[in-house]
Amino acid sequence: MKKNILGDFEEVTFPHTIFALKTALGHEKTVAENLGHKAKRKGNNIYAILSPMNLRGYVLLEGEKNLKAVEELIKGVQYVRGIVGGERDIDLKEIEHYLAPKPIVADITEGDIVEIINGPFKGEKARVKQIDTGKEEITVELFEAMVSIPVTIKGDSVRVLEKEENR
Amino acid sequence: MLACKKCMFLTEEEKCPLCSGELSKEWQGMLVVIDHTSSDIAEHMGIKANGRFALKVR
Repeated sequence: MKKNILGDFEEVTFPHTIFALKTALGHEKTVAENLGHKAKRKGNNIYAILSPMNLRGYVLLEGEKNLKAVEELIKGVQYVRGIVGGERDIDLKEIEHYLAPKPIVADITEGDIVEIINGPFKGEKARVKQIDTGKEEITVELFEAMVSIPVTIKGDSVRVLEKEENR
Repeated sequence: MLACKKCMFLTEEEKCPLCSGELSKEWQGMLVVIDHTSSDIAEHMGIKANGRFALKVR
């Protein structure tokens, strides 16, 4: 509340914005949850807190463009390292791609040569035979196997070595 | 914590309290909605409730 020129008190409203907060690596979700609880309790005019899957070490905070209120909110919260960029506005368009992450298997096509990066076949090279976009799984055939047995693995367990279209 | 495959709501319960949808333990990303009526992010994602939501559920 502040006094206007007539001496009456009026509510001060701030435009919406998105702040970026630096956090300790691996603690993004904990920070989002803790800030959420605190914001709900204190009523700091924070509307949402986002911890995107491929943005490590940061959380995004949507609320009124009131830097002091955000500073107040993050004070004493474990794993928060500070506000990035201060008063700089982040537009919703800039973070839209975090809200609808594309499927992991989107960059993989049938026939690609991949390297398996984790699991029992780690380090093996294979050719992609089938892709299940819904389950985000791929079926591959290992090069080193004596008998060609199709193996189904998670889409994030492989690294594409050679694209089918480039061969 | 489990995520609803339909509405992506995160819950500790056995059924989604929002839509009774099937739950999955394989989820990524998190959105904590504090005020869905004022949040542009919640509006963009079609979320009409407060709470914790996953960004991706498998």
